[in-house]
Amino acid sequence: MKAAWVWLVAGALAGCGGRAARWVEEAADAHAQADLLVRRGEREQASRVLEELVSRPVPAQVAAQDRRAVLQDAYARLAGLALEERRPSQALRYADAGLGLGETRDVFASSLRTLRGRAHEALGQDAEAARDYEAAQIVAEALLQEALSGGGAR
Amino acid sequence: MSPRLLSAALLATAACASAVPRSPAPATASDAERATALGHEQRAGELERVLSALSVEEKPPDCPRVCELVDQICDLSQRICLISGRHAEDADLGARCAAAELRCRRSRDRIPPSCSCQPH
Repeated sequence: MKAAWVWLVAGALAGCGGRAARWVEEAADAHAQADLLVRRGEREQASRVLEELVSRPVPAQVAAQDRRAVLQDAYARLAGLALEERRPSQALRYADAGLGLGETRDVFASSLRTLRGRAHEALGQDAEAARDYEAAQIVAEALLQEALSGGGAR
Repeated sequence: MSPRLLSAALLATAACASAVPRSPAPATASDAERATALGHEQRAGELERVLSALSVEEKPPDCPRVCELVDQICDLSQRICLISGRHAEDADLGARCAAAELRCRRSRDRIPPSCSCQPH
């Protein structure tokens, strides 16, 4: 899923120009830069790039659902990187921040719930982890239903 | 709705339409022609809607997406049951594991025959 939403939103806003489109382009650039840094094994640097992205003010012209999607995508990636770096507390904070932006039955909620579950599990909080995995599974099942009925919302 | 059900619904609609008492015959031949043309047009519109519904329904499933989601669902089930296994005395976790396994099985059963998902 990495950055896929960013490209979709960027495509949708490409014709609009303005600050909203620029913000989405910057998000796509940040993901591309993070990809490169991860390939080089510089995960901390990649996290810094993504942290800078989530701390940047979001232009008012960006639609609420696009804002949520782009930021949740970035937070999920940050949480994943933190888990790879064996920093589960940090991963938990990122996942919480992402989920704090709102939770609907979509791929972002499922991904963030899974990552938060992994962070809880790494911290020995098994009951919380199981609850998050279960929530992620329920969302994934709803997404499967959509995919099977031709909706396929990601 | 399945294509068969849709066809049945369309036939039923047609049958209902013919069962409804007809309005008085139009005064002139040209009015009658117009009424017939309007009827044809309405039926064509109806058929077009049914056909477009059928084409949406018969869209092939996005197999990579379906397989990816089924993998995710079953991976999460494994994670939940591994946790439950570490706490054998915890009935709540046991119930969550059973429900998670059920979701995994249910998802696998729903894979369309046209999708050949590789088990991971």
